[in-house]
Amino acid sequence: MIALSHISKTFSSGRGQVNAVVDISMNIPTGSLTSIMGKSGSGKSTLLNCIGGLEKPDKGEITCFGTPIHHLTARQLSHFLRRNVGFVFQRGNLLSYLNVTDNIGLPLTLNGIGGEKRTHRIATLLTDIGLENAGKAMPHELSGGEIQRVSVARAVAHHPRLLLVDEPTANLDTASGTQVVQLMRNLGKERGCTMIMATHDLDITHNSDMLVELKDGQIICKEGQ
Amino acid sequence: MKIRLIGFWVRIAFLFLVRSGRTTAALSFMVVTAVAALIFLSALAVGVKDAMLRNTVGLFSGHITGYNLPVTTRTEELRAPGVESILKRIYVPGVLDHRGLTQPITLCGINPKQEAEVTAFEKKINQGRYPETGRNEILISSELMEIFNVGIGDKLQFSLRPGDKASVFSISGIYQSGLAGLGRGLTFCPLDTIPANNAPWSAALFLRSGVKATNTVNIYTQRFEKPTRFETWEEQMPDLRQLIDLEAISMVVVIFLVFGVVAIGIACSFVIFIIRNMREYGAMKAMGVTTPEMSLLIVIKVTLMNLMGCAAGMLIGVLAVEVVSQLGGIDLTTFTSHNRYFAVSGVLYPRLTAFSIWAPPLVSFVFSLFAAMWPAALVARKRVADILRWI
Repeated sequence: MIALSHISKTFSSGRGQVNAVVDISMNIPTGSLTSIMGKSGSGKSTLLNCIGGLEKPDKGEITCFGTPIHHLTARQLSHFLRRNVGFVFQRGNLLSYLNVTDNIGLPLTLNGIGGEKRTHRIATLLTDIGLENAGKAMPHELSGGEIQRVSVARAVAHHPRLLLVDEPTANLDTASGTQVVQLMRNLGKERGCTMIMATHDLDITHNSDMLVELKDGQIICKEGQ
Repeated sequence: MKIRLIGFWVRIAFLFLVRSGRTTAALSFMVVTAVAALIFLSALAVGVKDAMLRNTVGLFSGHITGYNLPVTTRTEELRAPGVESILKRIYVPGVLDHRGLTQPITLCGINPKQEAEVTAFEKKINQGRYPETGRNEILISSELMEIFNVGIGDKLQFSLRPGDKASVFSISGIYQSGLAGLGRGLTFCPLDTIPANNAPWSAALFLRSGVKATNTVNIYTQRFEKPTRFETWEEQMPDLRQLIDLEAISMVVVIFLVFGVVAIGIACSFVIFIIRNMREYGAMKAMGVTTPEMSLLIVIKVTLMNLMGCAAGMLIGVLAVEVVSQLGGIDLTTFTSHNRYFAVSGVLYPRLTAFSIWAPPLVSFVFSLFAAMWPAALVARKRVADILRWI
C-alpha cells in the first residue's frame, strides 16, 4: 500500500509562490491502477514525482510499501527507486546511445540481473511489446509509439512494485496511445505492479481502480476504492 | 557503488562515445592536436638541447676535460664505459713572432686526423686545412692572421719565452670559431712538432649519447691522483647547463598551460553536451542510478575520450618528429648564426625521449580528470524532478 498523508508542495517562481500540491491524503492499494487527472498545471506530475521520491514534499508523509521514502538518504532513495520503481516518461526518455535491447536491459543490470536471465527477460519483453526484431534498433530509428512501448518495457523489466507513468500518450496519436496504455496495463498487471498514471486524457483512464482529479493542487474528485 | 557495475559503466561510456561519433571526434580533436603539438614541441626542445651540446661540447672541448695528465699516461688508460673518443692535447704557452711583431699565445698540440674525425672544429677552418702530422705547420685564428698580416704558407716563429730558441712553423690554415674562449690566442700544431712535448697533457673525452659525464668523472677521480683533475662540460659551461634547464622548465610550463586551456575547453564542451542530454541523465537518476555512479560515468566518458585522443595524438606527434628528423631537421641557421651555442650548425633535429612522448598524454590525462569534475558536479547537483521539469 502507498499512503499519502497531508502532502503539500510549493514552488517559487517568477509569478511568486505556486501551490502545486495542497494537503493531499489518500491510500493507494497494492496492485491497483490509479489515474490522476487534471489540466496542465493542476499538480498531477508534482504529485506523481512526490510519490516516486523524485520530489520532496514541503509537508506531509509518504509511505511506499512500508518505507517512509522521504526519510531516506539520497543513496537509500536511489536504491529504493532502482529496486521498486519503474518510470514511464512523457517523451520516453530512452538513452539515445543505447539500442533497444540495452535500454530495456539497463534496469536489469542495475539490479544485478545478468546472463541468460537478462537475455530471456529482454526477449520476452520485446515480444510482448511487438518489437521482437527491433532489439538492435537505435531510439532515433523508432516511431513515437515504439519509443513509448520500449519505455514501458524498460520500466517493468526489473519487476518493480510501483510503476509511475507521466502523460504516456501526450506525444502520440490516439491509436498508438491506446496501444501503449493497454500494453502498460497488461505488463503491469502480469507483474503485480501498483500503477499510478498522471494524464489529462480521460479516454485512457477507463478500467482504472481509482480516479483522482486535481485542480490547483487539490483533489476535486475521487472515484473508486 | 558496486564494483561489479564498473565494467557496465565503462561499456555504457564507450557506447556513448562511439555512438555520439561526431561530438566525440570534435572533442577528441582538441586533445589530439594538443598532444601531437606538445610531443613535437618537446622533441624539438630536446633537439635544441642536442644542438647546443653538439655545437659547444662537440666543437672542441668534449664532454669531459682532463688536466695535468702525466707524460707517462697513455690515452688507453682513459678508456672507461661510455667513453667514445679520447683526444690528446698538449697546451704550451709561448710567444709567436713574425718579422719582429710578437703576440702571446697558447700553442696546442693535437692529433689532426683524430681531431677532424671527432670534433666539428674543422668546419671553423675558413682557409687552408689542419696541420699535417710530422710537419712544422700551424693553424692560427683569423684575429692573429690580421695582427700579423699573414696568409697560408707564411712562416711564424714560436718560442716559449722571448729570446728563447724559436721553432719555425708554416701556416696551414686559418680558423674563425666565433667563440670568445676559442679564438685569438689559441694556435694548433701537430703533437709531434710541439716544443716541450714532454709537458703534462690534457684530454678531451667524448661520451656516447646518454652517458652521464659525472659518472665517468667519478671513475677517473678514483683512477688518477692529483694534480690530475677532470671537469664535466657542465662545470666548464654552467651557463649552458642553466640554459638547458631553463628550456626544460619552459617546456613543462607550456605543457601545463596548453593542457589547462584544453581541459577548460573539454569541460565547457562536456557541460554543453550534458545540458543538451540532461533529460537522459534525469531518466537514469529516476531509474536509481546513484550520484557517485553518475559522476563515475561522466569521468569514464571524459577519460575514455581523452585516452582515444591521446593515442591518436601520440601517433601523429611521433610520426611528425620522425618525418622531420628524416627529412633533414629544421634549419634555423638564419636565426642562430651569431649565437655561440649554435657555432657550427643551426639545424635542429627533433628527438623523442621518454619525457617528450609520455609527458603530454600524462598531463592531458590528469587534466581531463579535473575537466570531468565540473560536468559531473552539474549532473550530481540537479534533482531529477528539476531536470524533468526544466527541459
